[in-house]
Amino acid sequence: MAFDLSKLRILVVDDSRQTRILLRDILKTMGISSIYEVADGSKAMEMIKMQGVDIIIVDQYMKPVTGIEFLHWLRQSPESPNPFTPVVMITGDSTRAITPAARDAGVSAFVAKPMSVHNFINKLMFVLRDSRKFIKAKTYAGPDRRFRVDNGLTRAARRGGDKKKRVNA
Amino acid sequence: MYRTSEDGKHTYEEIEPLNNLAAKAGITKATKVPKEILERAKAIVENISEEFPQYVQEEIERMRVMAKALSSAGTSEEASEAVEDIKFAAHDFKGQGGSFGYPLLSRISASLYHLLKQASDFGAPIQTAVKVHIDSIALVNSLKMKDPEHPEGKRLVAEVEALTRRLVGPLTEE
Repeated sequence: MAFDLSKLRILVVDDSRQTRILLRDILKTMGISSIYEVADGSKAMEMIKMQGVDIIIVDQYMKPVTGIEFLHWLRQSPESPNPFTPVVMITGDSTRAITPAARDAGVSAFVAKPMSVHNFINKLMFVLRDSRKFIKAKTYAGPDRRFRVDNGLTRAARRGGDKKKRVNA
Repeated sequence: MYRTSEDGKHTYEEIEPLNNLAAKAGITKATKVPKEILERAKAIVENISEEFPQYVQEEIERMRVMAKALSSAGTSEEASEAVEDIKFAAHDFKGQGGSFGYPLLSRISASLYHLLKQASDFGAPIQTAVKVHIDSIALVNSLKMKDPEHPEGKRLVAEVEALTRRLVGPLTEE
């Protein structure tokens, strides 16, 4: 298969004009031409109701609706047009407080600021290939947070290192 | 498909999302991003990095207006509004400074963000510290200091960070 991202539609949600320009230019370089831009989470909600997108790239620190608040809405609101849409969060707050909150809100991948181009492109490739199941529970909706690196072990087996408990071996 | 958690306490629905993005993008697990795309993307960052000081200069003017609004705020609501605006701009610079190759600018902005996040009141000492931070950002920006080891820049960073520590306590990440 040829590397051709031209059919992808990407929404960039960032209040910084400079960052939007940067992301748009990088995405264009990758061959993506359907790039939509808005400056905050509330505008993103309106946008995706009108325009289907394949991936959303969102900043966390925005007003009046933050990236995490937008993510909660996207994953859980009955008004959300597609709760499964992969979301890459870009944030300078990839710290103790923000990272778990974003994971609990159903983020697909993180890019920490200062942002490296390699890291951003790698995360984009990751969500394109992401085959994790979508989990919908009382308190969580989003990609399965238990990454598939367990070789089919149960949680107890992963913790205890007991390979006899392998379930799919 | 509905499942029960391993501890038996919760039920959840497991949905196989139709992620056809890899097929749509023509990639497999083995696909690597072509080298020329990576090189062109790196060049974009370098180009935008050159334009960054101009953008910062425009934002600094806005920050000065906000700082004045803080000094002349008649009510606590007006002060809070001005503080939120400055904090927001500082947070922006904190992230972007690093991304565009201006780490000293990023550190001064981080110090300003921390100062406003931790301050319990926004009286004269904080207002002065805000001005000192904005002036420091302006200086680092006007000299286009990219080198994190720039002696004057490092001294400036040390001074504003010390000021923030003195007023609101240790600088921490969030």
